[in-house]
Amino acid sequence: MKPAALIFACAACALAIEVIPPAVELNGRQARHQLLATDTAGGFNVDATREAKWASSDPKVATVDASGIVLPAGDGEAIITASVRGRTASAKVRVTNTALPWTPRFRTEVIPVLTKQGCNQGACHGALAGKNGFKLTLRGYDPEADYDVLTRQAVGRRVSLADPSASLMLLKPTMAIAHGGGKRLDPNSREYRVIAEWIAAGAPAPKPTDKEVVGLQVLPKKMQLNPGGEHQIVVRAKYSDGTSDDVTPWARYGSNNEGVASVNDSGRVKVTGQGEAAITIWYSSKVLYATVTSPYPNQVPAETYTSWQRNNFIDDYVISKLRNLNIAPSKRSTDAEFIRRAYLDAAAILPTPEEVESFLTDPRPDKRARLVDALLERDEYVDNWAYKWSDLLLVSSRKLGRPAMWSFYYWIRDSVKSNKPWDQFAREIFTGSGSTKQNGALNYFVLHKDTIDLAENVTQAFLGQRLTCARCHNHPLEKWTQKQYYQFANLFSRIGQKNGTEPGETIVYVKSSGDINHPRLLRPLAPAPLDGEAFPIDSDADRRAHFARWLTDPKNDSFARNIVNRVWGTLMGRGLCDPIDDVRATNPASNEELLTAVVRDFVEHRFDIRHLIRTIMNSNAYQLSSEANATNANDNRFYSKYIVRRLPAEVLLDAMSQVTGVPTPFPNYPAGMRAIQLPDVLVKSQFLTVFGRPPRVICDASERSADPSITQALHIINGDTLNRKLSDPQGNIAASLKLGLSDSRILEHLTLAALSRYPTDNERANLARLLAEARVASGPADAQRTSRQQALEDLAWALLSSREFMFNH
Amino acid sequence: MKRIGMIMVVALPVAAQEFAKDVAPILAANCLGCHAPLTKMGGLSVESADALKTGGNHGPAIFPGKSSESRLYLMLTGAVQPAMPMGGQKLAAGDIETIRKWIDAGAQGTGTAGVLRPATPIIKPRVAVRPQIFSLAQQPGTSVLALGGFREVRIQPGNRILSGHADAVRSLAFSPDGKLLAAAGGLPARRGEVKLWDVSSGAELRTLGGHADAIYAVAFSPDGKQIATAGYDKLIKLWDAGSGAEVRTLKDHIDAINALAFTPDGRRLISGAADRTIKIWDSSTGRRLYTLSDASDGINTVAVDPTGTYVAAAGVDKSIRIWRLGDQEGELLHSLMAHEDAILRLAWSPDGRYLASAAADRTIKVFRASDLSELKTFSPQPDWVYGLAFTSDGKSIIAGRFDGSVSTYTP
Repeated sequence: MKPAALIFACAACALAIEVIPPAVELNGRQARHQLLATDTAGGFNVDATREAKWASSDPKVATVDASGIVLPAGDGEAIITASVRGRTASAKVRVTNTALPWTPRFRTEVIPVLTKQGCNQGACHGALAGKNGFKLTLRGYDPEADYDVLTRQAVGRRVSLADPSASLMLLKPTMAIAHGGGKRLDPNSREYRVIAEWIAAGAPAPKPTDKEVVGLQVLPKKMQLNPGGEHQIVVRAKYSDGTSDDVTPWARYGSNNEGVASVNDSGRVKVTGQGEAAITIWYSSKVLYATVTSPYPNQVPAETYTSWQRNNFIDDYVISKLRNLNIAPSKRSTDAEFIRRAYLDAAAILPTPEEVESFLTDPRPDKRARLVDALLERDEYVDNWAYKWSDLLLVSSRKLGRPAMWSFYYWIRDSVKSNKPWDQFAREIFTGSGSTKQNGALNYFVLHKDTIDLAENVTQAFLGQRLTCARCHNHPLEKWTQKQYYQFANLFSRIGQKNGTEPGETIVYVKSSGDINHPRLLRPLAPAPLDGEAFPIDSDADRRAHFARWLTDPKNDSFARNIVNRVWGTLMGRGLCDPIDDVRATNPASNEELLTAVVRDFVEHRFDIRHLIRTIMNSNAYQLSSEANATNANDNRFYSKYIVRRLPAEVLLDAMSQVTGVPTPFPNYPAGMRAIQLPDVLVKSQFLTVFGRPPRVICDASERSADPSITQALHIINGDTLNRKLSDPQGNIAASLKLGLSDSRILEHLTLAALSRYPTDNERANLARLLAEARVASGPADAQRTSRQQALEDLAWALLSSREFMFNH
Repeated sequence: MKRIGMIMVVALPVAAQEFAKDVAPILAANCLGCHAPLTKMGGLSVESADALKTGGNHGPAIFPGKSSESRLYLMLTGAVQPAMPMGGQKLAAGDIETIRKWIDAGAQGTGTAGVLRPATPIIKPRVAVRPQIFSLAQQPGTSVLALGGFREVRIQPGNRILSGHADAVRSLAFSPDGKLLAAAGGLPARRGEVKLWDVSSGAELRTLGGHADAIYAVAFSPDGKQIATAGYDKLIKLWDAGSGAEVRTLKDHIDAINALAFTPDGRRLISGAADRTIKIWDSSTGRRLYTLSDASDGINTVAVDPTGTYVAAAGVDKSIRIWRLGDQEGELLHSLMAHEDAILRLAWSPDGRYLASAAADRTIKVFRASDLSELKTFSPQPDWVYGLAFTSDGKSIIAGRFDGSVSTYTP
């Protein structure tokens, strides 16, 4: 027993404290590396680095200071040990090349220092016009240009090779002489030495053969921290020659949720609230993030999680996240709540009173899944999702003639109707040629005639990336470089267009020549997808085909991720990545494992959109009540409750038409057409404009507004859209009067139609009383009828202007 | 009153604050970032007691003996807005008190806040540094070359060294008779410097100061009586070549001046600057006659044709432009996007037929001056060419490069 107990105890202590990374290399006498001592006891990460006593097994090889920073002393190997209250852990250090002189490299050392010290930021010398005659490229995106500026421009003003310490580049930022930008460099710092040693070494130029940063690593990748907890993170750059360096001091940090965790310039994370935050890291045009979790201080019994109903894999990931955060899910929605939201989300219509009643009385246990299946087969489903993809692809008569617009729209609608897989949908756009009338998908190119515009729309619509910054310089927050931008754009530089035989018809064809120049290199670059294989620049084969192959390759994560996040966000009220059209690498999902799983499932099911929608709607997470419980009032990121949202403009208008039985007339469109069936956003409708219909000018989810406004309120109160529907002699109110229905029957019918539920007892009693009071009970029959009709109109108005009606919940 | 006065007089020496020891460190640490001689926000420099007395756009910053009327003190306390340091932390009460006492004690003291800088480590080159060439000039009528280097000028042939310059020698000019050499430079962001050398003896005749930043251009007037200098401080200065006296300052450029040239008749001085303009001045009165503003980016170089009829200029917009010089205005005759990167230097051949250019794209090109048609390209240059001249006989072009190499090309 005794030995076993001992072993057990040792195992426990070995688990509880850990030095990360477990092995480091210090290459050269200037190298340094931050080690962290982390204590993972109790499920939380505690950063014990400062508390630990650090020691080196061989100070002639490597030394370590009180903050865990290891410095080289001589070539060899050593063990660095951290002791925390009797527990110890260690890391191996290998030191090489300490005998060689240090020659800082311009690209991987000088530029990172200038960037970290802020020299080349937008407000200083990185400004388009520079500062005081000295202009660097924004955050060092063009090292070659910066090199010339620093060493040669203005007749070698900034660097003195013969007397390095007299270099303006050192005197100014140290404030040894006046500097408008203040003190940026401490003469005793490592950053100062990088620049000084670089000059002393003759200011060597960046060479094409220099090692480059190929990736980053962050440690720890995930942290579960106590309230108020702090944790240092370590960022390592991986180079093209296989080596790596600790670049923690030179990386740039940000938090995507300052209310949960903040991070300082040195990479020290501090918990400021509950929930989850991503600490984003940018270094040398490479990006990465670390996740910080800080659970809520709720007391949630374990069985809340263990006994929770799991309908499919989505629920496993949702509940596991909620458990990590100490959030209890809301209760399940009622059938009445479910049918309303399912109809609205899938088909953008309200269930009829009959459909509600039949669903509520359906005893089958799988009736929700059956309902979802039935909805996905309806024409209204097709209308709804065709409208969404038309938003995405900017269908309108603004740039397209009406026949072209219709052909584009019908291609989209047919695609939804036949449940065309999303990869095929994209492929048809990017590999088609010929007449835009015969192949509606080609109108995509008519909308984006300019190569730059097309390239940016493609990345936004199909990849959820905003590339625009990289048009003029490397993306300051993302990994995309200007070079990648122009390689990508060059995929689309050989798309020819000419007039067809009929008015409004365009012939799209592939040209055998044409390139877009990189604006600084003044030459075209081999066309290449983002992080994808380049296509031979001298080939005259269709570059788009190369792009389409890459785009729809199951291995291209961002293609599926983009559409999955959009569909998820539409159904769940918020994208796993938020905003819904932003799935860039530094905008991690609120539940990354979940998004990954849904994406995998979507790709495994061959990009089947209907399957994706069905899977989400069948999950228990989708079917939760929107009502908060004691633990999740503040949560709108982890799907612990259904997220309430206002009906989109078109859906709201159609719902009003449906409940009142009075369609909205649209000029030049057949009577009875619903707003969600319109192919065009230029169709005049003040109502749709006021409630945020997108103009479909740029591909941006924020084009559609869900913001409330005074105009909306006025439109509901005084506007003629709703009031005309209520008083229409052909409408449902007039009809129910003609049918001679009782007040209570009309009330029930209206409530079922508008809110998909029966009126409550309270509502019945109060509204019956109000209706009776509003009526003229004596006098001419006409006056009596009119007063009753007005009272019913008021009742309907009250229902249709209520939050319960205007919101999906 | 008298007694108080007496007490004060007695008290003065004891309480006196010294500018260099007590005040300058406070100013250097808190104010100099914005109020240095170069940056001069609000027109104010806090570099010295005199600079404070001169003050800025709002008048003197201090009135000796009267802290309560001195803007420096009032703005530090916040009594006059905006409080200083602008947007920063208020100074410690003790520091403000030190400044108040110093002003009330008469604001005495010499020295500058700029000198009291943080010591930076001395860093020596670890590799052999080949002497760089920042500028080049040929002695009129001979083949003697002056090469501007770091803190020195080399005379070739013979490799004579003229040393003692503060920093790189960024512009060189021989006097028309070839006897004198003006070597200009100075400490970037601090002061300009021109040394006048007797070429045959190698004797240093005098040093001209005056500019607040390095000098980038120096030119002798054709009669040899005047020297013009200009540089990063946006000013042009005219000097009497014989006495070294400063004759006048020409102010109008709003960015660093990179180039100067006199017309052969000496009546006009032409300046080209980073502010994208070329200005034509009456050299005898200092009046600005007109501005040529066709360039779309900073001007690095100007060249006047031997007849004085045309001026050529080029710079960051990679273009060479030629104007006819009129009395009241210039007429743009030719404009050519001549290089793939900034053009650094232009040289006009002595017979006026050719124009040579050197650029950051590491090429040298030769153009027919009459229509800017390209005749020849010499490339690739191993480094930037900051020294470019036609030989006196007009047959060759001499290029001095930043890596210290010199080549002669015969088109």
